[in-house]
Amino acid sequence: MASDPSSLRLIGAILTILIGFMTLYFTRRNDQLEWNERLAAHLLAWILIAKGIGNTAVDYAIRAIETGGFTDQGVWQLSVGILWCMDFIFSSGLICLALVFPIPMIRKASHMKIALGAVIGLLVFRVVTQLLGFGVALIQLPGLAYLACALIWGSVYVKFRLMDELRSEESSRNIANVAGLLLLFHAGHVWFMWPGMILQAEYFYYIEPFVGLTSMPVDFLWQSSYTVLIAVGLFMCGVEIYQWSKGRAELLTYMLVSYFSLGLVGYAILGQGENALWWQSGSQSLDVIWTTLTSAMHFSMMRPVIMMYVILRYGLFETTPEMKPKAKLMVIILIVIATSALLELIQALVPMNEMFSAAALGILVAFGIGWEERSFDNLMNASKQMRKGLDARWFPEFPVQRIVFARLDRGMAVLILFLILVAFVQWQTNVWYDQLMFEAIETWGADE
Amino acid sequence: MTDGSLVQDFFARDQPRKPLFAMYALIILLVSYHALVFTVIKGDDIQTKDALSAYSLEFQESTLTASDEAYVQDQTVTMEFDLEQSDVQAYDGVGLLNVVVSYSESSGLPLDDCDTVTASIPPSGPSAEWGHVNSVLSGTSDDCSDIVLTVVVFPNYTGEPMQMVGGLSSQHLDAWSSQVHGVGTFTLNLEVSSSSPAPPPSPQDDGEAVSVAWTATLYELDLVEL
Repeated sequence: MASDPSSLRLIGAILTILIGFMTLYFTRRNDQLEWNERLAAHLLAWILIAKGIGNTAVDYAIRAIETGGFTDQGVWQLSVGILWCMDFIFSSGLICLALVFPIPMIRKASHMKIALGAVIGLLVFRVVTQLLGFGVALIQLPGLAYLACALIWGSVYVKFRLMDELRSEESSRNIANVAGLLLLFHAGHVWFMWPGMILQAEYFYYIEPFVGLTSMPVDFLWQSSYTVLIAVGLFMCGVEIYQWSKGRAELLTYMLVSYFSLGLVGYAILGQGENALWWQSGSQSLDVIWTTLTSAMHFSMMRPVIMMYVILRYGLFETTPEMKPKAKLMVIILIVIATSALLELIQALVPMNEMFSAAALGILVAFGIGWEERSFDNLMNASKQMRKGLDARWFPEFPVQRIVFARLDRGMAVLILFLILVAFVQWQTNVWYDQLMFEAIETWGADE
Repeated sequence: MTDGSLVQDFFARDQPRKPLFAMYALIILLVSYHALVFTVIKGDDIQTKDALSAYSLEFQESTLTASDEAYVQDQTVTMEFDLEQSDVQAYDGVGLLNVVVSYSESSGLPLDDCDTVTASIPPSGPSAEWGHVNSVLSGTSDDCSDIVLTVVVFPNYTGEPMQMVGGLSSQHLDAWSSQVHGVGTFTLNLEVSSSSPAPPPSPQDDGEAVSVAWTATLYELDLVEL
């Protein structure tokens, strides 16, 4: 049943992987992209694929830990390892994405070398520390991606959303929207928690990257990155409300206001000392239902949907008449999967007759497909302009050959397989369990 | 390629900078506030939130016994031991079933050695760990010594105290509680291969009196957080 977040997590993981491969398929055939857009599309694809694999692993990890606990030599270590290693690709990929899209932050070839060197160096460093058995350690700089993306996309958003409209309203608005949506994709679940951070609630201050597996400094760093995201999000929300008052509301306006409003409601539910976590299952208590419908929903459903929207709306897909039907077919499949999963979830949480829910599903899917016909065309025909009217200095040119992108794809595929192997080695060497015991012993020592 | 500085584009004096600086100021403010709350205001609570609880689990054992006797000749005799739901209800679970098969040479014939007795518990019926390494489901004796059979009923039950780290007490209690394991009818098959001191027409040993003692170990959990 979908009320078990396991179903939601798995459906979300499948959706994420699907969109990743779709993006790869369609962008490889798109000849219309600028260098930074092409790089962004490839990065997006691999970010989604890695995250989807990680989300599948996290589902197995949660179920294994919930049923058997942190067992010695337990297979939960493989799942946790895969999740954490896939997060390396996810976080490194997002940092790279923020550096090139929607505005390239790098202006010279030397900048490019430094930036890529730093990101790849961080990735290698993290893998090496994993192999040396450090687990989730401070030296891996957990939360760095949140921090980098918040600062880069937040700055780009503010700069272009509040840019002098006379210069280039359309391009700057599109750039601001992309930056805002990408940040929403990355940090939406964090923005639900903003009242908890300000009002010192446990559901924020007890957050850890992994339950019981991380030290206090790691938790502090992780939460600090969340705090940066919340600060940027609050500022963006304020800007959007201001723009709304001026009659310049965008899709992002409604989404940001919704997320931050839901966060406020969430405080009334979660702020009473209970520490509800997004992966909890088996309980129908209000706090768990709430986290299922907000944080878990963001991870599982909203992330793929937001990314799908960005990819379609801002022209990363190849949309020639030949490819358009294929793209539409894929979108319809995704809509049906997401709609049915959502309805199943609601049915499980709100008792209703199965016949009614089946009929509702039919109506929703039919409506979705019908809606999709019109909205798909709207989406395709919407302005994708990001450069028109803007000074050329914002878009430095790099002569990147197509072969580089093919190599990037091959390299990422190999990297994913390699990281799964690393996770396997960690399981076989019992690294995660040993670290857990080490943390436990340290805690006991502190208590004495 | 453009040579303009990114920093200049974002922060030059002729560019609108106030919104950006306002956002950075908000970031610094909230990060400082978070650091204060994390390290000072809620520092102690946060430090102890991950303290994994350690538990000591002991099994307060009780036994339920029954006995059977039979005169077994050269054929298989089957005995049964029933454990009803009502027998288990007052406990947290059934740990083990021990079966002791005893006999002595009862023919009264001079120089008649002990017969060979074989006992086996077929792995069917109640839910139990039939394949567990500590489960002894068959045995043979030809020197009148007892045959001791054991069925580990609850998975990995030994009766020895345990210590555990992490989890909730309710999770550990649930993990070691069952009203299902061991409920039902256990079966014991007995066979006697009798031997006589001399061939006919001298008097022959035609069987053996065998007594069987069934002992089911039921337990109550005693979980203490250390």
